Amino acid sequence: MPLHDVGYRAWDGLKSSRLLRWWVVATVGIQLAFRSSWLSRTLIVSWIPAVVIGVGFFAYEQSIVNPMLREGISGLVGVATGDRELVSLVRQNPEEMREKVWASLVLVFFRYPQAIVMLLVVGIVAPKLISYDLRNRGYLLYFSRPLRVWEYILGKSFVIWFFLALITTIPALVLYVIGVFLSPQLNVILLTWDLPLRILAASAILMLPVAAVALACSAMTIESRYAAFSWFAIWVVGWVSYSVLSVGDRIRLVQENAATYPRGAGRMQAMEMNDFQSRWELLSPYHLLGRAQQWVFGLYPEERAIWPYLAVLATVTVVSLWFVHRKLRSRLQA
Amino acid sequence: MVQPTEIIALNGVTKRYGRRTALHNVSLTVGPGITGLLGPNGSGKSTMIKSLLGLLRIQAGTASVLGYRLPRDLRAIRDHVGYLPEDDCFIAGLSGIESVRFMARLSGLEPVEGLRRAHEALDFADIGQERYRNVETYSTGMRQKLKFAQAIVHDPQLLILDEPTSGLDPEQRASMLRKIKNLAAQHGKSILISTHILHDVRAICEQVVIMAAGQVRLVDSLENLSRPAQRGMLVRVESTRSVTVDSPFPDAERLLNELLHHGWQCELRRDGSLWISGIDEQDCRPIWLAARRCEVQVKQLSSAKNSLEAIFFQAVQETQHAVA
Repeated sequence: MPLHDVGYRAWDGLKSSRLLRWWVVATVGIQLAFRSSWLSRTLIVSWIPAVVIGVGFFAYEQSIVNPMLREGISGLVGVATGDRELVSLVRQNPEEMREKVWASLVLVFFRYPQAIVMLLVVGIVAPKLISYDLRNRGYLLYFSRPLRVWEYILGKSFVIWFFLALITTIPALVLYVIGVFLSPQLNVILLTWDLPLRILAASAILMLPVAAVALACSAMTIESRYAAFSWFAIWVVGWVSYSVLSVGDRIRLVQENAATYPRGAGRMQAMEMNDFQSRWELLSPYHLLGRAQQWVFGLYPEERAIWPYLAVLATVTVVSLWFVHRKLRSRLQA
Repeated sequence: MVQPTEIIALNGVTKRYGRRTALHNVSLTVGPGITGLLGPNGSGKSTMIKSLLGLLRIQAGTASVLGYRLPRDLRAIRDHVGYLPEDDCFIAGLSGIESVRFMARLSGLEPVEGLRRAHEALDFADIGQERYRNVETYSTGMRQKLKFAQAIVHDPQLLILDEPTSGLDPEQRASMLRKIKNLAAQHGKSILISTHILHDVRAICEQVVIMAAGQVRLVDSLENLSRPAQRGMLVRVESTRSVTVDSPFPDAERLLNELLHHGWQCELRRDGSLWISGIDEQDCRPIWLAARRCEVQVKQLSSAKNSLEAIFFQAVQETQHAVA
């Protein structure tokens, strides 16, 4: 009991805009997610690759002013990006290739370390977001307030977007700023002004479908562990399906290019880096996102069509959100 | 805000779940004050409440709450209504204070104001230091109080309480009923209580709605319902004489004979009480005199009232017969 019991008191203060109620859902979701010690650890670890790529930016900028470093750096660019053509161009004129190298390094950052971290972070955060509300009937508390279903979904999505931004967008933008500061000339800003915008676009391409699919997994069940399992299963099954089904495409590619590439173990590797693209990539979320991000950073081959990848991502996003909406509505109608 | 005269108005509302009709052409008007919503399980009480909050879509009819039309003014309705769900529901991971503050913020209160108001609501709901504990560790009674605090945190004009006293011990139950009564009497809140506990309705409600088989069977004030069909007094006497098989209530029978002898219309009921027709409380003196004459001790002398239980069972049975 309070020391001084004032009893019930009326309240007639000003209310916040109804349009911002989703923000309340988002902030509480973020606050709750941060209570996981595993998440905090993963977030700390997720910034380590940014440091490594940052060192790459530094080294690249040093190679522009110091030709002695050029050979080694071009080799590292080759290892990081797998683009042999880029390696030879960097060797010739690194300053001219700066924009492409920066974009490639940021893409590498998105594609490899952050893709794994993203899988883990979303796997920790997302499964509980809706499944807990379904299990504990929290949805009755939400929807007896002035909150629409789509605002609830927006709030929950924002929680995932926030953590994805924390591990991809923000470090990538920090990398860009580091690159600018380490650059010997200030005109680098004029040359690379579009890179921050590409980072934002690549983040959006990552965040929208990922959040939608993760929420769909969470809305599918009242057990968060099943939601987590289905989240990881989608990626693993997609990857494995792609790997198995693309074997035929790989064999055909080898046969078609037998004359172009030398015999031996290096043939497959050489071909994979530059040319290999299978239609089965559409089955793998990892490859789908990778191609779309590659396109955003201007590194996607111009002669190939990107629209199937974007269409699949858009369809997956819309279907997932529709599923979440339907699940919540059916719970309310029950 | 001026309270409308019709707090809840339903007109021909029908709600179906597949082939099953949960609400069948329900028309109802609820005025200010405390209204008890009674009915057996599956009578459509919860469906009606959820429909009023727009949680369920009605298939036919019109409904308004506090003068706001459903579903057009759904957000305005939810702004002005506090809801205590029957189900055990909570936001996992939050403490009591965080939960109430969260609900306040969802209702539009700013962060600091929401926290201040959440503390006030929890104080009123008798949740002390437990407010800092995770809600998952709360007992059933504590969760009930928490839901009550969540329902009142934004100072709603109308409170819809679905089984507010379930899971509470007798002391907590009495306290909860006092609080509900206080909200209506002192703060002008209109309250709709859905419950199975007739005692709770009798204790605090001014109006009663009885539902059965998806239909409203009866709407009236508790005062009107309690009034018997005919004037009369109920007398209970102390048993001081030995009981026999032929005479199970000897004292009552003595008084009955005495009253009949003096021309009163009265009868002995199965529970041993006497029903004397045609008199009011101010005409009781002859009864006392008759009791003295036949040496019977009067234990209780009260104006006759209908029991809510009897009204409830009658309404439900009528529906069952109609359905059969």
